[in-house]
Amino acid sequence: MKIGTRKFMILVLSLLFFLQTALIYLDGSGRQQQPLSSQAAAGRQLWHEYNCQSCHQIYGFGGFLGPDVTNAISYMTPARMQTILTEGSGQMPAFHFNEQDIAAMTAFFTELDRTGIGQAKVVEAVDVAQRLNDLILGFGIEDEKWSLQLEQGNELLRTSDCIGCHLPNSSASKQAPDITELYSRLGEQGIKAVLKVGRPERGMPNFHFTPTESDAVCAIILWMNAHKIEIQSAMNQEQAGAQSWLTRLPWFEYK
Amino acid sequence: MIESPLRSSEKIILVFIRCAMYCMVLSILAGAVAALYYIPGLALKMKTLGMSLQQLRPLHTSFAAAWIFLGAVACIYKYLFAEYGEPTASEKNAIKLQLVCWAFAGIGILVTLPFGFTSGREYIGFLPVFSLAILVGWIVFAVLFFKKVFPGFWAKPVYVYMWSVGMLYFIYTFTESHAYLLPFVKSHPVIDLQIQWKSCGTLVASFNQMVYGALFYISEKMTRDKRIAQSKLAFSFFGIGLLNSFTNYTHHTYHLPQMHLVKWIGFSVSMLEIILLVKVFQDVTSLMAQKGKSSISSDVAKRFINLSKCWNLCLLTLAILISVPPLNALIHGTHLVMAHAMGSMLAIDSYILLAVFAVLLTEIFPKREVIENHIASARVKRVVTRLNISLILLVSLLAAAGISVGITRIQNINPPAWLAHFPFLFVVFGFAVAFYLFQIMLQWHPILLRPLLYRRYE
Repeated sequence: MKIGTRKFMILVLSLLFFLQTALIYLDGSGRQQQPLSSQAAAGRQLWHEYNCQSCHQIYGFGGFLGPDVTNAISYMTPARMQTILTEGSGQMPAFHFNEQDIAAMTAFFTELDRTGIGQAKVVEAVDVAQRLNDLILGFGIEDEKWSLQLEQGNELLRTSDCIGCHLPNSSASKQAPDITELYSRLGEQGIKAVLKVGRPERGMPNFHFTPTESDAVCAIILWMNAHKIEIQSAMNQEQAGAQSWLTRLPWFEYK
Repeated sequence: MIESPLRSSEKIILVFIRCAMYCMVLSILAGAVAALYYIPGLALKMKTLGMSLQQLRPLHTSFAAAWIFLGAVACIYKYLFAEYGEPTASEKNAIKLQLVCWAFAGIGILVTLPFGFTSGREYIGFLPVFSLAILVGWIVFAVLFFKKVFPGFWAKPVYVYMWSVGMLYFIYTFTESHAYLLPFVKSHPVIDLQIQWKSCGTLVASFNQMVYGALFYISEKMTRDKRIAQSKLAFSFFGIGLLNSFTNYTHHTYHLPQMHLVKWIGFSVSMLEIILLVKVFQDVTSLMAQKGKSSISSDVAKRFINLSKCWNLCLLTLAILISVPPLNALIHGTHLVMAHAMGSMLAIDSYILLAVFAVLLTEIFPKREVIENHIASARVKRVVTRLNISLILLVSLLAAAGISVGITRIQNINPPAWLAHFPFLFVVFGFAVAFYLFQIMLQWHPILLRPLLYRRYE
């Protein structure tokens, strides 16, 4: 290649590099968003100090052991967030963050959540869990044995985000056992033993249920076991709607 | 027998080769232990010992990058000394300064990371004070390099261009990757991610340029054909590769809230890699056509280069596929990205560097028995094959896991049951790769440790 051509090529490529750099630096998309509040900035500082990125991702950037946390706040209850940040979960160490640090991390995740969507999904876990919750309530209203204890248990399943991991028909995003099968597998005593301390080695936290709450959760799990065919059938119909995921893959930003 | 002392240039090259290999060993050790953390039962025990991915991952990535850079620098010094003669006293002082800076950084990183002193950043997971030392070392090296090559630069072979770009890229992008220290960037997560991805992508590009330059250099040596590094084709592919190197990273940021122009540029330029793919495909098919004659030569360097060409075909195809936005959305943040990154790092960059080292060591230790018993011993040749098989298994596992997780994640359903075995398979295949790399190190280390003993002329 002639020297003149080489010089021209390097010049053009250098200009393109600087043009690309300028596009990134001058892009207004990031500037339009609100800067982090001081509390969220403190949370971010903790994120770096504890090197959370070694396991977790933000917008898919980071380690692959834990989940992407860009929008974690939108599918985690405050209780779950608190438990994870104090006691850890599965392979996540127990950091025993104090209340101030938890508030800072929560603020960081909340403001991060507002920036965009970190992972593409065509079926949302929150939607599925809510639909299941509605289904159970619907079945419960028709069941003459439906009681206040069962209602309490159902509410606890929702607020403790049990459904996020333990969905029926292997519809869960985590590899947790089907909730409608739990009673047949463990029995009442087995379930209560798990509810007492969680299963930290499998990622299930300790929810610190009171004896009354533990009884209520056990009761709803037994009820779901008794109605598993109806629940699984209804969930199958829900799942059938998600078969066309291939055509719903996003091009650029995730919706 | 008269013992031939080593020249200063040879000692310097051997120091860098040794340091590069030590970094490789540290990286594979950290990586192997980090793989154990994936096994849930073991993770709990490791946590109680204060070991987790928080310490292990940055150790692994930092020393993996160091291995690549130091290896390439060894080759560049070989070129400089072969072309411009033995180093002068002032040049030796500059090289010492470079080594001191990098040794300070390396030892400092090795000591601080296990205790949790980390920046929490990707690729530069160490404290900024060590970044400063690394940067100073690079600037010293760059000044030394450009002082030599600048006269008549434009007529130089393509590998000089690649090394020049690699160095300048590194200095720029390494500095840029510390933009997070600026309050404005720190307070805007999206801007931080934009710059972070850009700088990480270009950092990878910088060491790719250094390694491909080294490949061209030894190819020219092995074939004794100077046209390889002066041809229009070589410079054309350099140009396409360079263009891709600073735009390609945007396939990781399709989903970030940023202007679409940047994304379209990244997508369009990524598709240009199809041109490279065609050339690589031609290379590999002509390689396969030689099978039965001497396709996988008994020479270790040729073996590594030929294997890297085959891997290049597979990994380039993968890279082009995951640059298509919907497919990117499917596998984003899954182990397929790890397959792409680790596959490229090991099967392309590391294989090329091991080939480079085989050539450099053969020149420094030309004695037949040293080559046959150490550099290109029968054991090394067996290890190369076994290493490659282990790497195929590891990358395939990561790719399969990534695709499975991606497909099930997008539907929010449970991943397939076989993924429960992923941690164990990951450990087994990862350990196998680490073991065989270590075997190569064991074969070459004696001559690196006591070079005078192995440098004898009758």
